[in-house]
Amino acid sequence: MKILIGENNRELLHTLQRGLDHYQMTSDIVFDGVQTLEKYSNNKYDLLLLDDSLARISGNDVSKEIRENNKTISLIIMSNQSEISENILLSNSHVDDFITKPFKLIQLVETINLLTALKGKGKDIHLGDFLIKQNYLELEKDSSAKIILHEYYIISSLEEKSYITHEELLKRCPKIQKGRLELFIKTINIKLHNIGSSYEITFEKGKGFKLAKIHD
Amino acid sequence: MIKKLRFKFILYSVLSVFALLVLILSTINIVNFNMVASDADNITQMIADHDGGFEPNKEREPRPGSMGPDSPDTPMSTRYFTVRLSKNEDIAYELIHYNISALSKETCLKWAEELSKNKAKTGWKDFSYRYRLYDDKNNKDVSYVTVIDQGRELLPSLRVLIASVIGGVSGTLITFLAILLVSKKFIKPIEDTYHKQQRFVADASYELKTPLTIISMNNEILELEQGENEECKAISKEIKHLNKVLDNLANLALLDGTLPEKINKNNFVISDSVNQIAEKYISSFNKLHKKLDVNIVPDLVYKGDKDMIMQLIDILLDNALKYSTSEASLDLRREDERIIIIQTNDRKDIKDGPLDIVFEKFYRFEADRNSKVDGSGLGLSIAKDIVNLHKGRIYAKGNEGKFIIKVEL
Repeated sequence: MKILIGENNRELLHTLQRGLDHYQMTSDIVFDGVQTLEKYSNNKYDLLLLDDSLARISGNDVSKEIRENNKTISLIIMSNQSEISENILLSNSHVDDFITKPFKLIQLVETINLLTALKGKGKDIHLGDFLIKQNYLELEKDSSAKIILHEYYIISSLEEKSYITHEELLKRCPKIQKGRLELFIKTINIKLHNIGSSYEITFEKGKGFKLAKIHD
Repeated sequence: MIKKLRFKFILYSVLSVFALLVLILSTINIVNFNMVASDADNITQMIADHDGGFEPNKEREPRPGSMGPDSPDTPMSTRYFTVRLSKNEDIAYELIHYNISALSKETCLKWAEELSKNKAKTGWKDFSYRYRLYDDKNNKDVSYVTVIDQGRELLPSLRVLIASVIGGVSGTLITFLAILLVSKKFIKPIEDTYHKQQRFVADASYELKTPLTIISMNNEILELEQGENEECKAISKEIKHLNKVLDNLANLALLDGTLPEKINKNNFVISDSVNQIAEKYISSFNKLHKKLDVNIVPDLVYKGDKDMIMQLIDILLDNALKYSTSEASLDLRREDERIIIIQTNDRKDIKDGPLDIVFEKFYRFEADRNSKVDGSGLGLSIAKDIVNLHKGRIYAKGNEGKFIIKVEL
């Protein structure tokens, strides 16, 4: 596993590099967005880990540019926000996951491992009237919409015919913080609508969550 | 918050000016009227001293420029009547002096009868007539009522009163407009400082995230290299706590800067949202062997920011989970037009009475500060800000070993 880390803070960069090294993940480090793009163009990486407020070109903008030519590479953004907002989730078209500071090293390593395992499977999941493209972490029907890791675990845990309780859904979706589940369900439903799907995630009191056709 | 401050500044300034004007103008008018009454009483006394009339045929010495009751022209300018009241004689009421055109003789006699029943010896009748009741010096069965017309004397006072009212009202209005114009400029330095403070809190909390990440990560690497140890665990716990404080501070800064009219208000089924949050907490309560009793009236609709309301419920239940001894409850219902949320915890150390201090930033009960329970003391401050943004009310009180929070939306 070869990772490119882009972060303004040198201390954090070196700490990340040392930490990932403990988990047998080699990494290169860069200090701004321009260096990130240069390094990326001259080397091969499995994953990019970028700070959202990288100097010169932000982590988000770097990710956008890279994603245009590479749909399979894993991209994770490190953010100083306390939570990733609905707006960011809805406007995201290129990032595979966000991780908010401060985070534990093990949390990052787990995310990297999950992403790698997921994208390595290379198969699509048919659900309702749409596809979940695991390689690209996208929902697809009439058009496509990018989803992040949390959204993927939620949507792929649901079924049309049976309900899943709140507790069970949280168990199946690693790392989702308390209180964020409703937000992700909301963003998934918006993305399903945007791609032209007639399905949505519904909640029934006493039963739980289910994937249902909108007019059911 | 700045708008509230500006409103209060304008209100208190205008009220102060209004109160001052009322005080000064009232004093002027009261003194004025009292002086008119005093002059009138002097005249009725002069009449009383001469058996109900002015001294007849007395030549008064000219005194140019003389004013008031002592003026030599007083007997000629005073419009008055006197009625003699007798208890024993056939004619009980006798009009002995009639020097007034505005009132008929019948009216004079009628007034005399009415006024004779008054307890006060002097006073006003029909606003502009001053009366005096007095006894005959020689015959205790005889008394007199003298009434003088003070209409002309009162007219200037009335004009002063009207001018005072007009002056007072317009003065207040002008003050209000002037303060309204200058208040914005006056409040601006406070507003700027407040926004800078908010910005600082938000920026500081943002900027501290990276150093916290570095500490956290180095702590983890240390644990990987040296194995698990108490010191690393302690560091890890404090990082988590610090992070929570930073998140809450950032949240508070954001809420403080939000105006009620700017929040995202939509109709939503609040019963379902509350139920959703409550269901999440049931297993957490079970794990700690605590009971959570949830009573939600179904299908209640509320117009507000759904995400904020869910955050509010989350804070209340998180508080309950942390600090209840063994059981807690959550009730949701409608009372008149308001949505009522009541969250109750049982607590050993709670005093009876209002406990609104809990909504102050960083406040925690002494027992909670010393306990192992992780808390920043900011959750209920955030809850209060959310309720305020929805123009609701939130109260806290202790009652017989229970800590109760009531929200009215």
